[in-house]
Amino acid sequence: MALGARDTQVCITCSNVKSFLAVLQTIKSTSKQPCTLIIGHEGFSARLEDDSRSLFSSVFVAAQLFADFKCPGAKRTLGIPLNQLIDILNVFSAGFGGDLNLKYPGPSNELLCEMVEESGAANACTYASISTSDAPYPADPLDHWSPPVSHFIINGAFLKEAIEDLEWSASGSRGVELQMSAQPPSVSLCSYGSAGDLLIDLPSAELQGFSCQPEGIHFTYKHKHLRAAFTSLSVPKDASASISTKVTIDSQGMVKAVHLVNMASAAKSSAMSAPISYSALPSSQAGGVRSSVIQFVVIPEEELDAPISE
Amino acid sequence: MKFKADITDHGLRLLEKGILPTLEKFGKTCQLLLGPVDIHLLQTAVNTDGAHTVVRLAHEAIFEANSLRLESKHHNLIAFTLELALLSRVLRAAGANDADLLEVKLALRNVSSGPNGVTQARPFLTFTSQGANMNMVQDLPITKPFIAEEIDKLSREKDLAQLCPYYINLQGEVSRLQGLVDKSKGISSTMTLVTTKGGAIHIHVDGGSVQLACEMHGLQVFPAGVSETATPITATSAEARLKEAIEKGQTASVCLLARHFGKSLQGGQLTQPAQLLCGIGENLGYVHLLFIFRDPLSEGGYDDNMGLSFKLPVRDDS
Repeated sequence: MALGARDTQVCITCSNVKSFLAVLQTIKSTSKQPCTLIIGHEGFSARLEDDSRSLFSSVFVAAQLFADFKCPGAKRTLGIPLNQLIDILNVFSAGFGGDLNLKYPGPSNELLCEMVEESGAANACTYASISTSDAPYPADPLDHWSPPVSHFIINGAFLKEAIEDLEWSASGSRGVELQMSAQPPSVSLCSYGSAGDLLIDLPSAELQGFSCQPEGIHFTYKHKHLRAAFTSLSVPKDASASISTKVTIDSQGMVKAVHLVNMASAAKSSAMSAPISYSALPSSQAGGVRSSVIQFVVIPEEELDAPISE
Repeated sequence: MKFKADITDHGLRLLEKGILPTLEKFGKTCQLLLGPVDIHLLQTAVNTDGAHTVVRLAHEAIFEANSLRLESKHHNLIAFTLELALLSRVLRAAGANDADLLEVKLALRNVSSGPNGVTQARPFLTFTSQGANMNMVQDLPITKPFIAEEIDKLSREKDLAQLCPYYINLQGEVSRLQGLVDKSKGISSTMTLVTTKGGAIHIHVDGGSVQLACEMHGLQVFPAGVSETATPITATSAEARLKEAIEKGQTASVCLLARHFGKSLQGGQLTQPAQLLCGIGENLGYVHLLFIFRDPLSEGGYDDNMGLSFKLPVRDDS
């Protein structure tokens, strides 16, 4: 029986806990909802739905990015409080370069983590267990994705700055309006608040892969959702790296923001911080499976039916 | 009541860089007990949130030879309370002055207090540093010197803990333990500490739905004979080894505040002892951390002139 249990247990070995942690932290939120982990033979993903049900965050790390990845049998879905998982990974990331082993399920369906380190004066073994709950396979908001779509790619720093600037006028207002027009190609973000109105045009010279439906785009979103989708990536310390983000908007106003995180250092990391770079190139161009995918989907606010102003 | 001495460069550095920052982690104030053989810096529950700290410094460790004058009516003992931050500042300034001579003495000074300028004699520790370019006098306010009974009480408190049945040497693992204790703060404020006679420590943090544990084995055990009395543990996983050690009766286990343990480890990083011994009292009533310092010039290689120890209270819910 024990052997049988081991045969069907998910076993993941992660040699770069810092990168793994950094990726998961991008979708960290204050939401009390447990995050759903989906572990299948193709990789590890975490999905989180905001309490308001209009922000969906997800992270996908391909199996190849782990030092070892065994997931016999069908896909597993499990509910786990994301903050607890991050707290625990934080403990392991402080370690001295041992491999982290993740196992599921434990004797009472926990997620088990273990790290054995042989450096230092003594042998150390750190282990943890996190209780999990049953979780149904999460509904994918992209099931309701309705073409035609409009999209653009931009250095994430511009988006981040725009969203941060909009903060003062967005508080107390209905939200942030995202406008796109096909001719001339332009993207603007604006908010009309009690403190004042602010409209920010993203520099059109920086827009790439621009495509907009001829009638233009005009939707309103909660500021905090856009902030989560556009700004939660921590900017790499070295200035040479930049974040570029692909933003796609469908005909109903559903926004999909995709960030690809290069985990090239997944091979073997030292105790130093692992370099991470962000790019929004399709994974085939960005070195195939070296990247993990962080995706945010934001649903527009209901009252957007009435256009606010021109 | 008289106290006057010249502080050595070594003593200044020792206090400023290691001892005072360590004590400041535990509380804002400390009690200073000056005696004929050594001086003690003590923090008891009145200075901290429960931990006891004791620093013992032989006169040779901080004072110039033959520079000490100490007299009092009560066994030539003087004690008072002072603020650590102020003492740190005074010593830092004196150190920066690069003085040839740093003299400290107990003094009464008339200070005016209140709006009508009533002068009052108040006790101070006066630090005089004489440098090539500058002479500096700094007055550090202290409390009224303790009366005889208070001194006796403090003298008893400096011998704070009976020695534990055995100790595990954590030096070498301090930074790893520190990382674990710091990062586990979000999970729970308390932790369970288990020592085994075989030379392992287990730390267990229980956060309800999250459990975090760490085992370190292969650590030195003192006194030397203890680890031989332990039967070897054969289990292959950390959890099973802990269970086996408990079944064989080779463990001591207590629950304590994680922040107390964390601060003690920080003391280990600040003072860099040769050995940081961690023991659990016989009745499981306290955790005792004993810092042993190195002195390459002495016979045994250890510095008997200096001692630092912490007695950490345990929680009932262990």
